[in-house]
Amino acid sequence: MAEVRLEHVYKVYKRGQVEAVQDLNLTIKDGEFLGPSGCGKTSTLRMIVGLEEITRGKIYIGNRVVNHLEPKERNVALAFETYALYPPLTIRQNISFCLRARSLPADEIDRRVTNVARILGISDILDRKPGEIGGGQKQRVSLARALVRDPDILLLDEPLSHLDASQRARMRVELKRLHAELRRTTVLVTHDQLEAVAMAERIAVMNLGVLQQVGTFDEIFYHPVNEFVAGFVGEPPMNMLPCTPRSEAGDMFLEADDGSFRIKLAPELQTAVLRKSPKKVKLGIRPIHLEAKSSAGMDGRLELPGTVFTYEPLGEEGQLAVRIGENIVLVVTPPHVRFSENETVWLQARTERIHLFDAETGLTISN
Amino acid sequence: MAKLVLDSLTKTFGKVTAVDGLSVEVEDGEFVVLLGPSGAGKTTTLKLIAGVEHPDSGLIYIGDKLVNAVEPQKRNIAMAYETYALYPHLTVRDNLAFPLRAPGRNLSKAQIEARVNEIAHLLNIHMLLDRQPDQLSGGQRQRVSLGRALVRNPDILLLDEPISHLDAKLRHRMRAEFKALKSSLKTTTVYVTHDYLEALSLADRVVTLDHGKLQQIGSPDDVFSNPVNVFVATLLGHPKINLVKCRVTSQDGQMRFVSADGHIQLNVPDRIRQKVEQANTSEVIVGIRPFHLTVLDHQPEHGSVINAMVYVYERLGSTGVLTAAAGTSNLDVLTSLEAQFDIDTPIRLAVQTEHMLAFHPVTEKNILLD
Repeated sequence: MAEVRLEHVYKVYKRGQVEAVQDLNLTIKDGEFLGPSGCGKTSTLRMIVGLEEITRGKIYIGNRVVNHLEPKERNVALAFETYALYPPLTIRQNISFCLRARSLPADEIDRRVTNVARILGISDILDRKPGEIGGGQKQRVSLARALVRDPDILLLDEPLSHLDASQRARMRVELKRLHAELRRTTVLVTHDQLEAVAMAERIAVMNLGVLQQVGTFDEIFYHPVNEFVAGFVGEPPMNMLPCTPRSEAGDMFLEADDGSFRIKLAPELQTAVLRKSPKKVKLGIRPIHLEAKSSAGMDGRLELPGTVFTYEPLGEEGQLAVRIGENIVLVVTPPHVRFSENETVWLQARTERIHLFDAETGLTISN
Repeated sequence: MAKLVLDSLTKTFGKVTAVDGLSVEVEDGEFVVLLGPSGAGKTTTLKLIAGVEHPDSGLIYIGDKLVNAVEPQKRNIAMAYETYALYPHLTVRDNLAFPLRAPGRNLSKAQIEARVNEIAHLLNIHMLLDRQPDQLSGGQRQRVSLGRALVRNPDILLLDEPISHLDAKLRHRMRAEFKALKSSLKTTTVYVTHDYLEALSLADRVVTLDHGKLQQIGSPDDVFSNPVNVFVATLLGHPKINLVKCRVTSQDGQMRFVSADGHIQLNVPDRIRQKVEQANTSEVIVGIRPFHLTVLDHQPEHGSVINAMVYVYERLGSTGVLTAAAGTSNLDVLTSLEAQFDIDTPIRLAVQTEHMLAFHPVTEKNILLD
């Protein structure tokens, strides 16, 4: 186990034309499960493992700079999307390949393979060939091959992307459990925000090669630094309503750009808006932080009137789409509360669940 | 508009029976969703209706007419695979008019114009007629492509996974858009999906299929709350319904369901007890939906409580999912997003036993429905 540290790391492809990673500073703590998401993530992973040269900057594993170490000297294991299994070998031989290369005793190899196969639920296919198993199974074999080496650092590149939804949910649980037991420093790359928030202790959100925010679920989810991060995490995604701040008689109001509402901002938000004085803002509220009421009232809460566009009962929850001016706002509702189309509703949210973004820069104003 | 009747349809491809004795009646103007995992026979069923595949046996009626021998283009069916496929260089108006200008239709310019305007008003896209597809939002594009399918006034509209290919982020919105659009449709529609949320949201009735065989037809509420068997119970809901094999025991006149390791013990409410007695079985598969389990923070007065350990806790987009280890069973529990749990800490789960389902251990049929 070890810490991974990236200092001012750049990756530039095509003679300077494509900056896949720009000035990335990131520390992955010993034993931590980190999930980078967004663009530039695979390049980052490949630099850590040693498959790509680092254009600029330094990468440390533990206290060693590894920039010039060969991949095999780094004790890093990578499991990636394209499984790269050896077709003529059985699954058992595929998993044990690197152990045999290291001349470990046969019973030790056997013990490790059996154990990892049990954890990943592939014990019954150990004697088959890669061509005889399905995509989901291949993905698990690829994982087994990385885990069996007992690496300092485990890098997972979209490890669940080829599984169907229910397999993915199961593997997510097993991977998270596995990490809790092994405490192996792990970096998981995914485009799927759900995977990142479900599994990682910290999430590094990247966009176009630039790190946007690193943080725990709470930090990313409740205090996103910008509109990109806010929209990336959470499902259904955060509602965004274009507004203009107006100051009047010492109070600050938000006016919807389509004229559909005008609300007085809570004092703490007024201060934030005054400090940054943006021309235009986006009012962001997550669908799970809105409550739909059939009558107005409830002091101290933000309140937006609208009409029900659609209501969908979805079993364990409902989804309400509400028309507010030109926008459709989504609301997650509890099961058994029903709404009908064209009904008037008031959407309420607690002040601390409201996000304001500068419409020009996308940066958060409200944090 | 017309009624659609499928009578004992069977279609095999080599050794695989894709559709197996399927009988469904779709009422005039009804919106039916075919729901099943891949390989369930959903798309094959659509192709049989459209006439691009022929059944080995069975009859297909549109209206009162037997259409088995009718060519696809003469069945007056519109089929859209993905509702996104618009001609990018044509305006919305021309995209809509395209099917009407097909050779052999012989419609006058005025007739085409009138029909395009009519469908555009119906779908609320009349203000977009002069735009190009790339100037439309996703929802508008969906409306236009649906408009193009409907402009010929088909008797039956067939839709194959029209929104499943979309990014998860967009899907919620597009499903809502589709639902809004649906209420303006009066066309008999068969819609295929593997996503249970689409089925619950959109369908007048849901048709669930497994390996080409009909499992259950019912309202969304019905298939979710009263699934006929383990397959249908598992098909709808996320996380999936918890299934625990239990012995049926009795103590002081109180029936209980007890898991093999004795770790889960559930008091059986009267309504369920009667059905279990009637079914005369000593074992059941108990089904408990994750949102019918609650993590207790205090000692309850009464009711069924399961002692468990936190196996894994995940916070997802709008809820938390707790996987709890209760003896040898893993139970999924839906929690609020604000909840926090540490791995390997003990917890107590309250079970809303009145919402339990009980399935026969061999046939896997829901014994509460007998």
